[in-house]
Amino acid sequence: MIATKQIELDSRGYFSVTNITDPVREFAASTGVEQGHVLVFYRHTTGAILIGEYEPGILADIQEMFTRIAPVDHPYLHHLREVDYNGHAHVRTALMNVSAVVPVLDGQLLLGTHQEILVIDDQTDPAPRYVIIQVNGE
Amino acid sequence: MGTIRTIFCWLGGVILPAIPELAIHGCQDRSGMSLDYWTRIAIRDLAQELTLGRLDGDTYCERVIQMTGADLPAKELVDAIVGSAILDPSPLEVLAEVGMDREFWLIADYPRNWYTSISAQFTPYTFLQPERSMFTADLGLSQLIPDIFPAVVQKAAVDMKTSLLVDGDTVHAVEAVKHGLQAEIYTSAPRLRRYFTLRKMLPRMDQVR
Repeated sequence: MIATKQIELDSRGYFSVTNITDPVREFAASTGVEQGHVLVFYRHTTGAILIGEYEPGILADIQEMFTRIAPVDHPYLHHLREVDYNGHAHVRTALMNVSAVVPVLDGQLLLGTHQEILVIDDQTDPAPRYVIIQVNGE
Repeated sequence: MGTIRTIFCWLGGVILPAIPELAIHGCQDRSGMSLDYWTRIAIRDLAQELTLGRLDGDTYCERVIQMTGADLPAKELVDAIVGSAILDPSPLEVLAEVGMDREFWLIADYPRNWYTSISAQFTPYTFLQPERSMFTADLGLSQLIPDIFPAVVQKAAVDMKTSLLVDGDTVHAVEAVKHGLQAEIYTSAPRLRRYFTLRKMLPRMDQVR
């Protein structure tokens, strides 16, 4: 079976991080799928899905790294079209993943002890952000 | 970093639900409206004015109702929020264990009158001493982040390097570590216990007799 759900996040951008592990786990459990996988897909171009530890030092380190390699204040060519000025977020997104797949066995997500499913929203103008959760299995 | 000697714990989002969540649910439940992203964000933003003491609880609720257009008396929303501010004992049980040999401070982002009306719930938890509760509204901050971090450390007269903030707000926690205050993002009591176990501040469960 395949079951799909979309969740809306109240994130504000500027590298805000939302932990969606529990909603993903709850949706997977609600489908009754015993064996298969869950796809988590971020429907935007200025953010990513990260499977990692939900620890503020790590999140600060990742943010600091991106500030160095793709700073907000930089003459991105993307800005030439004068639509928006979020070149840093697009470049950062290119270095991350917009989706993640988590195996399901015995109805449980096979995440490691410290693995959490995190959404990074790096937009510069607040707007609703959407994540697709799709469970595929039997 | 040295051993943690002081724990600061945010009230809303750890021990009690966060006020904006209660306000959003209170409005939706009582008006039957489904609030959109922009309204929810505006309610969350406005809560910062409450946290900083620029608004009192009644005014916050009046403004929330204006934003939502709900046909609801402000008093009803106040009652809904206060009535739903139910203490979660699970993080307190973890914090009570880890706080036994440490100084524990509660950072109360609830208005004092709301806190007073619900404080009876805290009675069983003796480590939550009233003299070690600080109200964010009383700290005289011009901005919450990052000013709150040195402010709470200074008020408690402790060393930031040996202090830890437990907070359900990711932005608070990330900014705290950037400003030299160790932090843990609160998501659930089992995860909080795991954090303290990792840091050897609590024994592993299989070592507990």
